[in-house]
Amino acid sequence: MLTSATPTLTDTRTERIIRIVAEHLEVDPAEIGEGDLFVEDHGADSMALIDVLAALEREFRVAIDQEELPKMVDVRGVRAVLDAAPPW
Amino acid sequence: MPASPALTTPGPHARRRRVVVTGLGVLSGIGTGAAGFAAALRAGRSAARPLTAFDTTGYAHATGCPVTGFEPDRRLRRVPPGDLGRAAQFAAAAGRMAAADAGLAEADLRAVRCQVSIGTTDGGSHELDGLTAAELAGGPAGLDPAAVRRVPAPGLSAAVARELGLTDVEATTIGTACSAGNHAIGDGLDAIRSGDADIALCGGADAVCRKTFTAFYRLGTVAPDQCRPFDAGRRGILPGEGAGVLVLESRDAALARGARVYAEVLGYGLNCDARHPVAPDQDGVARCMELALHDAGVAPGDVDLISAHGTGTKANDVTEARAIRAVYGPEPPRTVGLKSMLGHTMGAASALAAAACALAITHRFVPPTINHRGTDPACEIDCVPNTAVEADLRVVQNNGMAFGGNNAVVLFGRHEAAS
Amino acid sequence: MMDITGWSAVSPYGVGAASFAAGVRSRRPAAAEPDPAGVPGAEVCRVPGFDPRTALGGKGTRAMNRVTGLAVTAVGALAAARPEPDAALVLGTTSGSVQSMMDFTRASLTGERPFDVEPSAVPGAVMNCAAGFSAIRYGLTGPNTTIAGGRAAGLLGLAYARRLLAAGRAATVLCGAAEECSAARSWLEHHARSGAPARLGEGAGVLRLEPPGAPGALARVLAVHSALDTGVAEVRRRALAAAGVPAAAEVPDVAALIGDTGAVSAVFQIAAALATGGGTSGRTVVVTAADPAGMTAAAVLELRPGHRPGEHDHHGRLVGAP
Repeated sequence: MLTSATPTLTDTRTERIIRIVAEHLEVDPAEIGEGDLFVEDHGADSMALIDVLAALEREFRVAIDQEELPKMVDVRGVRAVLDAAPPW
Repeated sequence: MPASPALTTPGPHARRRRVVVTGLGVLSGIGTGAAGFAAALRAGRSAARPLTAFDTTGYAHATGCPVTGFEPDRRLRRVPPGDLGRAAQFAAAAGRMAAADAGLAEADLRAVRCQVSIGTTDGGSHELDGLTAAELAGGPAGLDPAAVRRVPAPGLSAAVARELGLTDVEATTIGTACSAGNHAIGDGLDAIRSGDADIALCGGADAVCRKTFTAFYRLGTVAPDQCRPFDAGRRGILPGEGAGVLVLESRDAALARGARVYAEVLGYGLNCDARHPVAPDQDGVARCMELALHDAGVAPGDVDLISAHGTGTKANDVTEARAIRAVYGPEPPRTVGLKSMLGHTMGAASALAAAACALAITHRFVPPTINHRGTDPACEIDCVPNTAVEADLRVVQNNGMAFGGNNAVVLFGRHEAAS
Repeated sequence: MMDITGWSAVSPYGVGAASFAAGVRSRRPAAAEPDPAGVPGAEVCRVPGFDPRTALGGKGTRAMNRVTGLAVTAVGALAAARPEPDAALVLGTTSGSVQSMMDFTRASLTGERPFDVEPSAVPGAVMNCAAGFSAIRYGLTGPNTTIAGGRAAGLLGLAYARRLLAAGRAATVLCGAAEECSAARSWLEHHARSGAPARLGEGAGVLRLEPPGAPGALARVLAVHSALDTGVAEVRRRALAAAGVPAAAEVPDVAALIGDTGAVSAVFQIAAALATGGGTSGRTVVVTAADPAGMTAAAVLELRPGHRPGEHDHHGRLVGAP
């Protein structure tokens, strides 16, 4: 279900990223460290990563090229990609 | 060289009936009918153009490979076009065309037991998209019952059979996504081989729809302009539509009635990667090719041409090329990507490609992979870039792969009347 | 010919062959409720308490739709009981999950951008999702085919499976079907039948098929026949002729108990025959099906003697004489 991705005003950006990643990787948000590798540490497959990309686009209202996927290996990588992503 | 590999190296079922292709029905973005399709393949024509099947506002690009100028009223004689969804109209029209091409009148078909197997990815999804829009506008209670009845996928094979007035028929719609056309041809082959049916009309049909365009688009696999299989700069598929139907019958029956034979269906293979919902698996694809070769009693060295699944996505083409090399070694047969011309016609894709294989054998040419600029070094195959070449083809392999890891590979061979 | 050596059911009676067998033997109607979609004059019989995530665990089920969950559960009951990686899977449907398909298109039509859809929802909006996910979950690398035959799907699947076995493409075929209850299906079927009252059911059923002579056979499929725009009585007659038997008992209609289960209906009819058993001397039964698209089909089964109610656990395994 999508309810866990509902943003709240108090969430930091990193918390919002982690919540989205956790939902799509089917893991507890508390288990995701900033440097954890999505694939190696949390068993993400290519579909889950595209899911994360699409959810980040909607959450932050930005457009992320799929060419950026290789950089989105962990939370830090996601933050860097988001910093560079153009708004809708 | 033997005229027919199937004769010299019998497969596991040497007593089974041999099966040949005697009719082709084709609706595609590049050409209609066997002759029109063959000419378009030889010329390397492209079906790419802006899609108009749905409102494409908001997509950065919406190029596809639609069938243009299709007039169901002129193509269908028995079934009222308004009873059918667009994909079912395509299927029925292609079925009628295939029967005519085979020189079979309705009475000929009704005199025997028939098998109709039609593969599809989307069935009536084009119509379901319309109903979804109607529901958003006016709620579910007001949907048009006639439109609702055009949705169910079983209607595709029923439309083919009904258009030809068939009742003594097993009419099966195979919903195995983008390899469904090959699944259907394989089923037709088994039906004739086993004696379950005397004539099989088998292939696939699909119509472009918002749902599937959006799905591929969201996955980042729709190319902005052209489909370029095996090209270093490939960007993805172009969603297409159409239908391909093959008439299969036993070789003996075809020869007895003096039918023109396009090719022999030598065998097929089916398997499932059982690994990933959308990403193809090299080992699974390779295994499927081996199963097909075994069923056909054909050695890899006998294969002259491969019609690849060749979607033009990053993942498919490299995986498929590696699987081909795993089976065929460092010098695989020429491997063409017909989706460069036709787009990805989903459930029709491997059926249209099968028709192309049969025509290539008959007319002795290799259809090209168009839009090609430079082969991806990771693919390492000769994709016959941009220009058709003349070739004496004895055995041609047709690959189909689908979401769900559903692989299906069919092998066609030249038929020599004297063999 | 081929033999049925096991079966599983996820039905409005609950998860497992045992609950299905108990239900059909007692002819107890499964619980029905007014259609939550609000379709006038309609009731639904859902698989009680079924949720893919609960049934199959959290991993890999986030985006799994209901029909896939039902199919994976029913396939798993047989695949887990006797793992056979090369087994074929032949799974019937009508059009896949029309709910997932409409949801997907609706997201495209209503999203800020037309491609603001969930990537993970893509497989569920394609007809072969249930078969593909079942294969992935249980490592089934054999032929994997989705038969879109509607109410005839179970019997068209039998004919297809028989050809796979006869051609040696698989030594075992898991052959079944799945259908879900959903608002989308309820409304579409409501309009398709011009608003007539109905009770829709859902579930998944799977038969394990092997070449004739398999040990532990519960029944032998003597013949399968199908046709288009042809009466059920005529198709039944042809199937009996093909089977070489003069007559056969009709399996009592399961739809009266669990609702119209669409693509699963013929599989559930066969499962009901297996659940009722062959008695002490065996008996021959006929199962028929008709889809609104025009297909009619019949299968003739010879139930083996000695198999009686209570002999299968919920995995469809024989657990000894009662």
